[in-house]
Amino acid sequence: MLLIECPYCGTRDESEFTYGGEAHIVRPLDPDALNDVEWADYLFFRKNSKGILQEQWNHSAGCRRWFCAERDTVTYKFKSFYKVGERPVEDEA
Amino acid sequence: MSKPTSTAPAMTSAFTEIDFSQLGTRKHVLSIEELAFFGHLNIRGASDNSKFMHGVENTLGVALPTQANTFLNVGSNTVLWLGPNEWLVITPLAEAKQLEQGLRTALSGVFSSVNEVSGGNSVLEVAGDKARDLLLKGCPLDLHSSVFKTGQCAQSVLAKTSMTLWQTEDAPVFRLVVRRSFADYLGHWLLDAAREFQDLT
Ligand SMILES: [Zn+2]
Repeated sequence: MLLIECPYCGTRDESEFTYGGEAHIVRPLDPDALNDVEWADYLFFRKNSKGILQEQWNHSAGCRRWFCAERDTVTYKFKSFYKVGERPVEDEA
Repeated sequence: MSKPTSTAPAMTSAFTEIDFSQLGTRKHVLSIEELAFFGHLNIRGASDNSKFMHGVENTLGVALPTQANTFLNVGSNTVLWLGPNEWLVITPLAEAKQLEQGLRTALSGVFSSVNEVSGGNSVLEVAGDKARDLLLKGCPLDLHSSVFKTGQCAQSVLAKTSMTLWQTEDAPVFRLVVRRSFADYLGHWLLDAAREFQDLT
């Protein structure tokens, strides 16, 4: 069972949360200007990263707010949690 | 078919089919009681909007709690933090309409919402030495006395149904806002989960 840190409520059990897929996908400002390939890319194509993925979570049984997390898709280990509109703090590496 | 009446039907207990008294009389071990007939007001607005915060404070007589997972009591009302821009006020049912009107008046023109949600909820009080053990059977919160304390609240699940929990006394005494539509299911679940504690003294 994963422990997930809601930026508002703190650390809670995985069963209180709903997964929301990859984060930071921006809706095109002018959808009419897109061709079918570009529109399909926006709608359907995701990174499918092996390793760190930035993703959306909803604290659905708690405060019901959306937030973002960085998680390793191989180990399932979370790297960071942050609010919508923010960006994760980059490691000094 | 009976004639429809113009008056709203009187609110009834949400746990009409459940007899919590069968848990026995050793209330220091475990007791469950429905505290029916509370009014529930859901308030939403931005905590950094001073017009919103002052409007609510002037009406409730206390500032909304902005610290996560906390509640406070003022007069006969309980004010629970639900999220960074959402609160629940639990008030005697007879005062709910007036409080709602007062809040609406105080917040007119302010980006906010006040909704009476009394009809969908009821309140349970779970108390006694085994109250934590009982709740932990169906709740993923860390309810250890060093983590979850008097004055704290949390929205979570109990036996897969959504609920809001708060602790009013160290004894411990917990109160839960539960969904009325799940009351029958939850009541049966609680009675079953409590069976092992009935013979303890
Ligand atoms: Zn939360």
